[in-house]
Formats: sequence, structure tokens, C-alpha cells
Amino acid sequence: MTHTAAHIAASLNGERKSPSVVPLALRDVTVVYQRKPVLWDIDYETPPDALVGIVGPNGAGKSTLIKAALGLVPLASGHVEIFGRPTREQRRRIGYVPQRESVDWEFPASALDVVVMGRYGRIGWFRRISRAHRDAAMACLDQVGMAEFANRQIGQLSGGQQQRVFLARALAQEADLYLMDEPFAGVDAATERTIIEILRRLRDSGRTCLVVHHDLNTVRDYFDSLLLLNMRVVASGPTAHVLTDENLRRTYGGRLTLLEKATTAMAAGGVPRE
Amino acid sequence: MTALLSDVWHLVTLDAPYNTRLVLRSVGVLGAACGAVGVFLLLRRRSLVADALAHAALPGVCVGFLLAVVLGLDARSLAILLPAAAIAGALSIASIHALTRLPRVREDAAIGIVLSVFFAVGVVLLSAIQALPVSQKAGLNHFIFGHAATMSASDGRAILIASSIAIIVLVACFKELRLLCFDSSFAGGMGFSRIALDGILMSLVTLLTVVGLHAVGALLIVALLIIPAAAARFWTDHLGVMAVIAMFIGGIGAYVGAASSAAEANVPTGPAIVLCCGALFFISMAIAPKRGLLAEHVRRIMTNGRIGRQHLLRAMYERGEIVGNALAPVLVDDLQERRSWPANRVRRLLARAARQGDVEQVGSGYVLTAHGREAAAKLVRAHRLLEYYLATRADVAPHELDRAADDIEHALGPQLIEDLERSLQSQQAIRTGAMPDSPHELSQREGGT
Repeated sequence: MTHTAAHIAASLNGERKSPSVVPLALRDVTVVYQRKPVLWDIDYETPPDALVGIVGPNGAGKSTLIKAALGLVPLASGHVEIFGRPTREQRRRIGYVPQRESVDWEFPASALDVVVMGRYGRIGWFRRISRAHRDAAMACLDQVGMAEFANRQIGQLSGGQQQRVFLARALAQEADLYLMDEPFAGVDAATERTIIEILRRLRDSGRTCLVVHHDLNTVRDYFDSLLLLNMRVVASGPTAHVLTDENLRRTYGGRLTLLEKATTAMAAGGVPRE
Repeated sequence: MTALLSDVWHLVTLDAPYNTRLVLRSVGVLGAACGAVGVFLLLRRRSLVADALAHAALPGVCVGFLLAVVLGLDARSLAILLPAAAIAGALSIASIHALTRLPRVREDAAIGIVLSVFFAVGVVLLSAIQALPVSQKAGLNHFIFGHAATMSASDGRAILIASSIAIIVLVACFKELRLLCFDSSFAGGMGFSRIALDGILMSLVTLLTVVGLHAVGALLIVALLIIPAAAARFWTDHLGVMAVIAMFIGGIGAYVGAASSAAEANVPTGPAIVLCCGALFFISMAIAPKRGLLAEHVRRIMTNGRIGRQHLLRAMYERGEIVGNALAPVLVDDLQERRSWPANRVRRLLARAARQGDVEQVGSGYVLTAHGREAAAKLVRAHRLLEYYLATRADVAPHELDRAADDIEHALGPQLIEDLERSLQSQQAIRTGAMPDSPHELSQREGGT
């Protein structure tokens, strides 16, 4: 195994990094799609080396929040800091797991091809993929228990296996902050166990994971800290404090229709007459 | 007809004047380059956008031509036509984006509008140019359907240079383009500019479109980008291999198509090339070993055979249970009654099972061999485990159990059977390794065909 591969394995087994600054800070972030606000004035700081869950109803802006952190959607206002600096200066420190449905799994690629993509940021433009990077990707596939499927076409993997491949690709990024969009969606029990184990190991080795999550039954068990989101921050902080019936009711109990209507009307230029 | 075929043959075998040979070769190379670029276009799902871009190249070229005439420059110089077409192409893409932002225009409608409006402008300009008293306009009217026979050697050389550039860029950016096509968000998250990457891809499309306008025509050049790539997908699951196969298909299709149209002067080159590529597409779809229709059909037949065998073995085993004697010969009639199979299907299944050593004929009936009984016991057991599972976990009614289990039991591998056993362990009827009783009455007639 090469240096990088060994490094990935070692870092997953609890070689702590010292947290100094806030891994992810969103300051007054507002995102607007097609004249409709999706995120409204988000002020949020993730705690360092924690497993953080993002919870909220459909359309609450969970995926958009992750995309905003990655600089993938334009901000109508506000800014994002990754370890105290703008996203574009910190790309190498961010790992990303998009929603599984966001890609075409019929794409002509093997599991290893996909995981190697996690190394592209390090390899850089126009450069060939070296043996060392391939080995590092293999090590990541091994971490998620998928080494034997390295050469399998990705369309022939089960949903849970595809999700593991995505996780392995994020591991291959060797990041300090991981942003994951529903990594537990539609996976089998064994995959769910594998994923949560890996997330815990990442956390224990000083990394921060921000995870969009749907299953309220497992929230308390999985996450140290929570961000309850419904277009704006409903509540955030340690899970034990935040996960109350009152907060959940405020998160899931009805959308902010008034705010939405008002901003749509504003965007359309129509200020109602008295 | 024979004369035409022999003409085509002469051209294909390069038994032609130097100029024709050069042009045909260059069109072949263009086809190969388009095939490779098309793979990424297809996977990025930009086929229609590329079509709009190709149509927009026509007014671009016309405007470039007019500008050159006005300025007194060489009006056929690619140095003028290429940038003009590129600007028109960029304008068409920008228009699509702008229209899509409107609340009531969807992307497909936007593409349709832009494509047709730009093309109409091109056709109008083209007729205006035809009326001008300038000498260099000859051949511009071929830019709609393409006409390889009237190309000059320098047109051919331009194609060769552009195609080489396209291939070099693809090789250099292979991994970046793969990333863009598979997961553009992830690419963006790692800092690869999606705008730059899409720009590279669309620049290559523009480049090949412009140099190929005379040979293939604005109307159909998108086919040379898309059809070889789509055909190549049937042959492989590997992106690099797919690109190489698309190059072959595009190269052959373009070369043979151009040769046919050169042999028969009335046939425009574009349609001839598209027909050749289309034929190669259908051949690929039919016979490709992995994903082709024929291969799929064979797989289905084999699966049906496997399922038929499993049904037969289970029916014979359960027949033995009903009469209380596993060694009693089973008659064709018994089986026919049991599964409502036609008699000839039962005979066919029995004959195959006998060949495979699962059953042997005893008098007028059949009995399971030791090997067959072992296989049958496994199948019956899996079937019953599944029935218990469905009854307790999915609330399937007893009289529907058999058919419900029938529908899915053939997909059970050893791992799934083990999982089933584990999840049913608390039940009295299930003991490891033992044959559970059927959860429902074993009637004379059950199951589907």
C-alpha cells in the first residue's frame, strides 16, 4: 500500500487533528431559486469535530444549504466560510456526498472509476491518474467494504452499494469537513451500519460531518449536534437540547407561506395597494 | 444499381482522383472525431443543445461570409467563418438559457424555438447571398444538407486539423470531462469550473460543426455526433472503450456515406452519412454482445428455462408429498393439472430435465433422480420459507401465498435464503435444514404458468 493509502487508513483509525476554527460558518445566507427564496437569512456555525445532522421537511432547503456551502449555487446575500476562509480557497478540505439520485448510474464507469474521481482535486487539470491515486481509491473502497466490487459497472450495484461507493469517493478526498446529502436514504441495514461507523470514525479523528438526514428515529442516536431547518434555522445545537417536540413541531408544522408569498410578490414587482 | 455500387466500391477502396480521396478521408476523420466528442455530449445530455448550436452555425457562417465580402477579405477563410459561427453558436446557447429563465418556457421548448429561428435566419441569409454578384459564394448552398463532392482540398485539410485538435483536447481533458458528465455538482465542489468544462465541450462541437458544414450540412451534423456514441454504448461499459468504438462507427459511417454521395451526385452527403451511421446503430443495437437486443433475448430465454426447471422440480416434489411416496412415477397429466401447463410444455421441460439428469423415465411416468430430488428439496424449502415470510411479514392471504412466492422465488440466492431463515427462526415450523410443511393446503392445482 502506498503512502496515501496508508495515510487514509491511519487517519480513519483515530489520528486526531486539532480543531481551531469553525469548520463551516454560514453568515446571513439567503438563496433564491426562480424568484422564490429557498434559504432565508441563515446564520449557522458547525461545532468542530462533531457529527451534525441537518433535519427538516421536504423543500426545507437542506440540499441547497449544502450546495451553498460548496459554492454550487449563487447566494442572493451573505457569505460562507470554511475553516475561516472562503470556500474557493478551501476546496481540498471539503468532501462531498451528493444525493444518490442526482447522477445517472447507467454511466459507463466502474466503482473504482467513481472513487478515483475523489482524487481529481489533488491530481489537478490535465494530469494522468497515477498508480498512487488509484491505490488510495482502492483503500477507500476497502474501507466501505466494497473492494471486491471495484471493477463492477456501477449500474449493477445495489442502492446501498452505490451509496457506499459515493462515501468511498468522499473518503478519497481526504477532507476535514464532509458534507453529505442523505447518505442513508434507501440503503439496507448493513450499509447503514457501515456508514454510521465510518462517520463516527471520521468524527473521532477530528473531522466534521454535516449530514442531511430523514429518519427521525435514528437522529438522537446518530448525531451530536443538530440543525433544524425549514427555509430558516429553526433551532441548532447539541442534539439533546434541540430535539424537542416543540422544535420539531416548529420545523415540520407548516411552511412559512407568508414569507414566501411576500417575497414572490416583491420579486414580481407588485406591491399591493392599501 | 450495380453501377452505383461499383462506383461506391471504387471510392471506398480509394480508387479515385487525389482530391476526392483526400476529401473522403477527411470526412472519415471528421466522423471519428465527432464520434468521440459525441460520447461526452451524449453522456452530458446535451444532444439537443448541440443540435441548436449546429443549426446556429449556418447564420453565423453567412454573416461571416458577408462581413468578409464587405471588408474585401477571403470570404471562404476559416479564420473568419469559424469565429462567426462560434459567436452565433454561443448566442444560441445564451438564448436558450435566457428563454429557460422565463417562467413559462421549458428547456425543450426553448431549444426548439432557438434552433428553428436561428436556422430560418441562416436560410434567409443564404438566399440573399445567392443573389449577390460575388464569385466565392459557390457551395454555400450546400451548407444545409452537405455536399462532400464539391469540397476543395483545403476544406479537407481544415477538417483534418480541426479533428486532430478535437482528439487532442479530448485526450488531455478525458478525466475532467468524465467527471463533468457523470457528476457535475461533485466536479464543481472540487473546484473544477463547470462553465469552463462545458465550454470546452461545446467549443469542440462548434469547431467540428463549422468545418463539417460543407461536408455534412447544418441540418444533420448532430447525427454524426450522437448516433455513433449511442451505438457505442451497446458494446461496452467502459468510457474510454466507448469513445474508441464511437470513433470507429463514426469514421466508417462518415466515410462510406460520403463515398456513396460522391458516387451518386444527386444524393446530398449529410443524409447518406446519417443513413450509414443509422445502419451501424441498428446493427449495434441488435447484435452487441453485452447490451444488445439479441443478447438480452438469449438471456431471457435462459432465464425462462431456469424458471421452468425450478417449477417442474417443485411440482414433482410436491406431487410426491401429496401421494405420500416420493418415488412414485409422476405422469404428464398430473403435472399438467398441477400447474395448468400445456402438455407439450410439460413434455419439453421433462425431456430437458431428463437430459440434465434431474429426472428419469420410469414406465409411462417420471421420477426425480437423487440429484434432482436434492435440487427440488432446496427449491421447495426456499419457496416455503418465502411463503412463511410473506404470510407473517407482508400479510399475504393464504390462498395467494403460492403465487406471490412464485413471482419472486427465482431471484433468491443463498445469501437471501440464509437471511430468510434467520428472520423466521422464532417460528415453530422452521428448523434449520429441515423441510417445513407448506403453510397452505397442497391442492391439485395451483400456481401460474
